[in-house]
Amino acid sequence: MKHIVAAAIAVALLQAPAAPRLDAQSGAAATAVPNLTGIWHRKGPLDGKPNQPPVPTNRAAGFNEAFDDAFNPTYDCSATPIPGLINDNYDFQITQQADRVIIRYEKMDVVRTIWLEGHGHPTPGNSDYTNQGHSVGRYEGGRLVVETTHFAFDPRGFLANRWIPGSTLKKFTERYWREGDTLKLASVSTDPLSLRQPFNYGFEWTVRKDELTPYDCDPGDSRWGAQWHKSKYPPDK
Amino acid sequence: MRTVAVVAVALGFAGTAFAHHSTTYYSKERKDFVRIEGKVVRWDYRSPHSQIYVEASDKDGKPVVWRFESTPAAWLLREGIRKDSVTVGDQVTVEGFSIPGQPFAWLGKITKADGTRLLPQRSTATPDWWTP
Repeated sequence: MKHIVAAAIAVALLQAPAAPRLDAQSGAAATAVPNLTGIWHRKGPLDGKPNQPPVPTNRAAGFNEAFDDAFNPTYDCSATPIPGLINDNYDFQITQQADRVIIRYEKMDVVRTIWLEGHGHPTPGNSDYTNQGHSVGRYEGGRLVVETTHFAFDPRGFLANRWIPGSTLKKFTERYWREGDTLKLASVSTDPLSLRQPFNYGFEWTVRKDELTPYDCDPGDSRWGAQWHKSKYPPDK
Repeated sequence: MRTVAVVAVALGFAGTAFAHHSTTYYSKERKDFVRIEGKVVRWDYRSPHSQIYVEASDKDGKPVVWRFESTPAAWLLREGIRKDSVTVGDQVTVEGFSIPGQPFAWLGKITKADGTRLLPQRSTATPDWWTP
């Protein structure tokens, strides 16, 4: 019984949203926890300034030219990696816990875990490269700062269904903060193989009242459109 | 440098919506626009694309089932189109932009028998000349 109570308390502590601290502008500002918990609906570019597209290196531009649409992993419900996952036209939900932040995306039902520093979380092994990478976060100046590395190679490196590939050297840094009912993001992607310069993407979301719509991707439906695309290349004989 | 600039422009990044995949196989020419009256035989309200299947008659009077593709359920919901907005058996008029020679089209608009209009958001497959 004692173990059950202890376990219940531990679970409750892990699941409890971190309470926002009111001393965000004081000396404790470096670790102040903004309240980002909620379901967020797309609003527009950060501060109304249109985002500029990523600028590919020549090798990435060459990849884009050579890419044949049938290879698009999206046709088989393979999730778009961040930041393409974020800059597509869907909403998401943030849940803050004591040692981690969970982001659940409407697009492709992706769930990201951001491991907050200082909690002894394991680091990825040498071979641990994944679709959404490994995300580590911290609260800094009233903002959530997230750094993500260890991405698996993906042709949709920076935008959904655009072919500047993301290499295993890709790094993505997000800064989230809240102003009233608005959630703001300033992000930067770097990739020495694919980007000529850092790709900055900023956006704003507003509070959404209703639940996210499940994506529940249907593979048969997803692949259907590919049959109508003509390949860039001659048929095999 | 020229290649880089061309690619950046071709990406057309505007910071808004991206389709699940390219839809260039749907024609945007007026001659391929279709308006089909018939009965709903299937309604898939899902992702990555919703579909409505409508049975109608071809020019020889033979039954043909048209498949109209649309946006994901999450986007339809934003336009007020719910899963129960359409029911199998409904009489509808459906407008869209076809794949030439095929009974497949990108959905423009559904008009139900009672006059209710269901209007998904415009997409890259919607021709500029078309207005609902």
